[in-house]
Amino acid sequence: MKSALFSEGSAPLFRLIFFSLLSVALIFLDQRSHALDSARELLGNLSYPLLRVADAPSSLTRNLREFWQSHEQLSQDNRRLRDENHVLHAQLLQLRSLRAENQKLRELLKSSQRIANRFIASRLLAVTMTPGLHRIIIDKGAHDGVEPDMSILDDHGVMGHISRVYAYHAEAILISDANHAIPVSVQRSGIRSIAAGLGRTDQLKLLYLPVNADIRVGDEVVTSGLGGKFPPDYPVGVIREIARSPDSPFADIRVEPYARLDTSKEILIVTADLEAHTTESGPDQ
Amino acid sequence: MTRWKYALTLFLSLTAALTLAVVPVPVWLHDYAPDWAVMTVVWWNLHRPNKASVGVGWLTGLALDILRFTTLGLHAFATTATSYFAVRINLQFRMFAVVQKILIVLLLLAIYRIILFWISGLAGNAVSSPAHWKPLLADLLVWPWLNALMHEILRRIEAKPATEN
Repeated sequence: MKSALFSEGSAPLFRLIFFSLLSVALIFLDQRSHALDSARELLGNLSYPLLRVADAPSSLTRNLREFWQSHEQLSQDNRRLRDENHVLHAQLLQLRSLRAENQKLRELLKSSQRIANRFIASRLLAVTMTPGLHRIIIDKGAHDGVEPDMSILDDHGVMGHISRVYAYHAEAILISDANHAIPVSVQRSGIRSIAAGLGRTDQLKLLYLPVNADIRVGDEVVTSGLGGKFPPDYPVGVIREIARSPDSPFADIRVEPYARLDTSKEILIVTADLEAHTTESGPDQ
Repeated sequence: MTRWKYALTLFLSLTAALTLAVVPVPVWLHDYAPDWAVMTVVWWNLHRPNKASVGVGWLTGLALDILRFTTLGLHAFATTATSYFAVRINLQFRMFAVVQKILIVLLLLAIYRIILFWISGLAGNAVSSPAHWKPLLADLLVWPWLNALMHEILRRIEAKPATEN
């Protein structure tokens, strides 16, 4: 019986060994080196039409909805947006004077200037559904000026950063990804920490904060800008839970992210020049 | 001619499955997203092993790696092994009753999930385990329909002799 099976199965067995070894070689190469990056980029670009097709139903319904919206509703929207624009403009005026003041103070302190951030607006194209891997695809790529390591935000807070860029789309990794960590500081006390993803969209964990750290539930957590990957002072989340257990030197602190990680469709990419900021933190005595 | 037809059908069915694998779905469904692509490959491996064998499984896995941003070779390794087991039992599979067939398919998909879980742990993408098994429920619901659809498509292709063009 075994030999009869084997005559059928010897070719598959050979293929199994061949392709398994090939996969292992690929895993090894892709993890340890950048040798496969160009191949990956090519294949990623080839997958773009597939992503477009997958997105077609939702973009079609969106377009149809926009098309059939009544005139009344459109003008209503228009009015509301115009009002909102007025308010934002007024706030911007205030911000401008604050910025000038800040600039003057910085000149007095002889510290370098912060660069104003620019934004690229983009839309969500696809998401991964592998548990724990919180990655998304957005519809702007190298063609639109997107570069790796740029941060992404929605209108509530920091979402994550760009991990790979293709011609017309880009991959981003969310702050809730189990392998993601973002340098943060607690706004009230200025304590620095790292917010690590847990693979859940509603919770991050603050790492390495001792049990006696000056932290309270409700404290706001913002990006610290250390490490140079994320621009400083963007809101990340709010502390929801602090557990201090006697057998651990560190407190178990949970942060609820502001960004709507699981529902946001409109995503802003921050194109920040971070060099100015990293030189600022160097010792200059 | 028929060879060409098979290749086209295989390509189109896999492309459709891969597209379904990246269609954005509501968040509460994320953990239950069925393994469209793996199920389609397994279907081919079980029913037409001489048309789609281990190599096709590997290619599908590679496509999944690209689409899901995992380390290249991660899904490919898992689908290769799954395809191999599917090809190996295809002769016995034909003899089974419907319920047994479904159980075998579930077993194959569970093997796929186990290998994926194990190898992503090795590659440093470890994930909590209960979330990893939920897609099997969705697979169980989807498989009968996918099975019927694929049989219907193949019946049409194989019924007609290659007369046109």
